Amino acid sequence: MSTTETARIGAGLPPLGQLMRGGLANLLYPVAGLGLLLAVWWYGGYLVASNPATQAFAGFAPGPALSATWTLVTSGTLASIVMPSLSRIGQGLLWAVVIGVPLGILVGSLPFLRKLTNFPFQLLRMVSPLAWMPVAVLAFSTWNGAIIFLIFMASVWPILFSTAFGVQRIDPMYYKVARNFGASPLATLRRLVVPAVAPDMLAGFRLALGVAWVVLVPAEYLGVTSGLGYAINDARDILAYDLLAALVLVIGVIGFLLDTAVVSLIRYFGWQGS
Amino acid sequence: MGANLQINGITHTFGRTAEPVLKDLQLDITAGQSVALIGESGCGKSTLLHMLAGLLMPTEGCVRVNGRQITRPHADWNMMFQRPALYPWLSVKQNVALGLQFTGQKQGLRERVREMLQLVGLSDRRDDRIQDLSGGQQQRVALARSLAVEPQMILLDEPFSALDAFTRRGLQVEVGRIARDRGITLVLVTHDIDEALTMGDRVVVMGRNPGTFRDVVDVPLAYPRNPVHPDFMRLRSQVMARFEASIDTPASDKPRSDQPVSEPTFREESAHVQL
Repeated sequence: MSTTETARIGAGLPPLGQLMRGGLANLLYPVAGLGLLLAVWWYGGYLVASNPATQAFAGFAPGPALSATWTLVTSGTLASIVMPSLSRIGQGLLWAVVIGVPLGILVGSLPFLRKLTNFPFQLLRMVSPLAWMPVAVLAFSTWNGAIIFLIFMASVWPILFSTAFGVQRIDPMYYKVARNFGASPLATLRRLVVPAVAPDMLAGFRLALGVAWVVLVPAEYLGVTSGLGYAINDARDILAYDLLAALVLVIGVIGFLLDTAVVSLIRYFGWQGS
Repeated sequence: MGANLQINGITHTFGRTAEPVLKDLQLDITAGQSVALIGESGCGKSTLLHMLAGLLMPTEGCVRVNGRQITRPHADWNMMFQRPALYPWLSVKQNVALGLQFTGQKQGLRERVREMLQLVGLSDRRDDRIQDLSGGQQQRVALARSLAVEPQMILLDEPFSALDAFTRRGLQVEVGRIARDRGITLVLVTHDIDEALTMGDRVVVMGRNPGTFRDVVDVPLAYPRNPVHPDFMRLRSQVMARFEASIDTPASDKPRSDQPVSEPTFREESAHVQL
């Protein structure tokens, strides 16, 4: 290959240095942000540890907390703490999707239903999920069921409202195309409505996941003897502040990973703005 | 195989007390024929086309395809809209397959889609996103989507009006050729007299308040038609004159639309046009 040809082919590609600079710039901010958080945490821990009045809480500092995290991971305890919580979150969200998505599609499609349900749904949405705790305890025979219900109550509204909003935004011409080909209501639902609202539905799911994850820990203070909420409560009771800080760290990391997974799903199924 | 279309005494009123938007329309279109409807905005051309597609039911009268009354939309007579309305979450080939999927035709779907993409010259764009296509290419995809279900009749609702002149001309010729090759009946609604003459075997001039068929002009020119050919230009003048007359004269002064619209007088006049 001649030098000219090589140069011509090379002209279409970004130089290696440019690629590396782009990759480094993408990494720089997250790493700097985490570094900043660690610095603030470390300084807070230093202040707590150096004050005789708060010295008992020195376990919150990064050193002991990270050490406790390592122990949690390597001893296999972490999985036994996290799995019940993930199971509850999964079940609560599953119910929220099973009920929220079809209801959202109906509310978005039928103006009379939208008018009928707007006020009651908005009212129920504004009730703190934890306010349902007494109702959940009375209504469910198991603590587990009550917790799943609380997660459901926290996560159903974002899914329902986002889905309904997505349905309302579907271009009427898309329905006309479907009718034009004599599509059945089921085919229209499958080929048009569901894929059209998928990005909105997933955006609602992301919000729901965030709220559900926040509600999970206080909900697990209820009766159960497993899960992250129970473990935090337990760590507080036995004054194991390093473990408590480690669990807070674990909650943050898992929440972040779950959110990242949903963002990937949104990118995969998303078509808006593409 | 194209469809024989009969428009039988269609009158349509939106709402209970309003004046009719269409009144007493009669027209027969034979299989494989191409008919262009022209008329002022608001004369009810698109309303009529929606009725032919089964998307709207007339207040009085009916539409028959091969003797069968149209009561609902069907893939055998589908419509191409002004906007291609392709689904943006699907690729080019998935959009072409859409009509087949809506009608539950799974057998030979891939081959059919491949053939249609080849027909409209978009084989190399089959995996592309709709957003990456030009307006003309998107209308080609919409055409392939319509053709994939092997319709007997295609109804065109100003499908090229949003395109630039060169693309529009290219698609007019291409759609007409494909329809003739396959014997598909075409009904085209347009504001563009050149488009009507480029694609139509007959041009129906509609008047408004209420919408009626005022005139029918046969277009006995060979395909593909050249807009600067003297015969084309002579026909354009004729259609223009009829169109302007339909605007100036109230509906009541016009020939009754229950008379056959392909009156001998029109045929005789158009027969004078030399090919």
